[in-house]
Amino acid sequence: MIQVQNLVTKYGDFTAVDDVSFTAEAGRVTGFLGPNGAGKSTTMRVMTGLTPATAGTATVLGTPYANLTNPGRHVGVLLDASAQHAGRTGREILTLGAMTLGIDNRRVDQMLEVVGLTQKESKRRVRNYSLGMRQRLGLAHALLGDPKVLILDEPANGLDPAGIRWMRDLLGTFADEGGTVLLSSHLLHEIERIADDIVVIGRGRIVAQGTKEELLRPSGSMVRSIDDQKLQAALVAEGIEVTQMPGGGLSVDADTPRVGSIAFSAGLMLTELRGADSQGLEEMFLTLTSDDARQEAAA
Amino acid sequence: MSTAVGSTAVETRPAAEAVHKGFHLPSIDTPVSPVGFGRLVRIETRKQVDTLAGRWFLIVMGLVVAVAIAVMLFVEQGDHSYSAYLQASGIPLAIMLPVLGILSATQEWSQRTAMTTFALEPRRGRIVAAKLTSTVLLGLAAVVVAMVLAAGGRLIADLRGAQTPWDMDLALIGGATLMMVLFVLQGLAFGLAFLNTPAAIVTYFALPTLLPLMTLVSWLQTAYQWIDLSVTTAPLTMGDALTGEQWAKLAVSVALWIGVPLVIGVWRVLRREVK
Repeated sequence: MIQVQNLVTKYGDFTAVDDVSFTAEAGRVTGFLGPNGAGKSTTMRVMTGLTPATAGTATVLGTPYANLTNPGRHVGVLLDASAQHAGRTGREILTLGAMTLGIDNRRVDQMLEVVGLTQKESKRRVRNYSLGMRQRLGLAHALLGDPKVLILDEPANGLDPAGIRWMRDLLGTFADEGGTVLLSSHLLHEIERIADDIVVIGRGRIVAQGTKEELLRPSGSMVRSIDDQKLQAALVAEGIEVTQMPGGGLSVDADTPRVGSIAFSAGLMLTELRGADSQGLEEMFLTLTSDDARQEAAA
Repeated sequence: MSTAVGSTAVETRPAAEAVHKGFHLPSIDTPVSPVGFGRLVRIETRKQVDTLAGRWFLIVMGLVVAVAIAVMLFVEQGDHSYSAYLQASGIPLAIMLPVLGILSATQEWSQRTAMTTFALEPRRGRIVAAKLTSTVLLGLAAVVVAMVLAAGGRLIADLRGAQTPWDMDLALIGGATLMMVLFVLQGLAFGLAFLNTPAAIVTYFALPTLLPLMTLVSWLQTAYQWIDLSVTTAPLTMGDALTGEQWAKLAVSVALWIGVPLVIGVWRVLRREVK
């Protein structure tokens, strides 16, 4: 379990992390979502004792990270897959990690296998690795000590769709076995695919948090029937707000079972009924990222 | 379905399919033990030589020493004392080895491995202590290598009928050992103070060239005798015991060029944010 309480990190006048509080529960994958520069990485560095907090606390497994005995045996950390010596082989990096943790060297081969790096690839120097391979190596390094907690900053960066699915399954297994996973991303669809719980951060502040279902729950339904006008009348009669969509069909401010039952009572056959696209989180996220979007378009 | 995804994927791996129902992450039975200092020293020593740059550095150093001994063997049929051979092999090492000390400190930041190092051992002082120890050990190992190569050179000279006595001077060996250790520590101290490879290397090598300029200013000449390490360490390789004043000069220059940068460096490493 990871607990962050009223965390503040300031650089001079600039407040990178502003009164952030959240908990990443054991047995869950918690997604830390926010645009670039929102304070995700800074928060994660504070959690792992690499950056001092100006105020507030961050604990991992109930203890400040720096007080853990042999922290690598409790917490797997991957903050930047590229932060490795380019002139070392992947295997050597894992061997150094295993030496520090005081664990058997066989673990190196096991973890290489888990992340899908071949023996041949492990003997190449990291400068020749693609970003995806570096992420896999970083994940292998994080898993070396058989930790109970994983703290991963942008681990899906550089992975292809198959790689993202693989990571989701791997982290899902880790959480199912009782582990805590906190992973960050600046991409909503990545977090949607991997996380159980979501914490959204923007400009250093938490703007939303909850389970994925809560945050992504559609606020209404989309419905089409053989006679939309009759259906609309039936729905309005129940006091439900209805909007006609330009391309046909109705946008209804009620969940799908309710709409279905009203249509059934009215004897109307439905041709389509589904939850409305979850606009809430995406819109909030777009607002947060609009400043950065300009830069991305330029780049 | 995985094949459909795989056909558009840039990079598909068997592991993409390896995670399935019933997959378990392998666990470890070894109980959690604290990270011992001996372990850290071993790791820091290994890190100084396990990179591509580190490997080549050792190879080049070996070649330079071999060339130096070969030159000795050509000059006057190689008829020199063991001490002369030891100087020939030890001096190139003393010049180059401090670079490994510099890199040990700076690479953590230039290659950003500090993120891993300090995540696995948050007590940064212990890492610095391990680096100090490993650097001293490396210096001592270099002295042993220099002695062995010098002996090899002198043995070849013996086969060719050298007349000069071996003259194994213990004062010289002790002095050369101390000098080697001081030089590699100076390298590490500069590395820690700058935390930047080019700045540390340039400063380290520019100092012995720039400091003698002090002798051009009359009122700095005395001070120069006390602060230039290359001057104050010179008696160590003369094979005579140092006088009290020579020790005092050595102490002052060591405090200035090893002590001060080391204090600055430790302070910076302990406080610096790791990014």
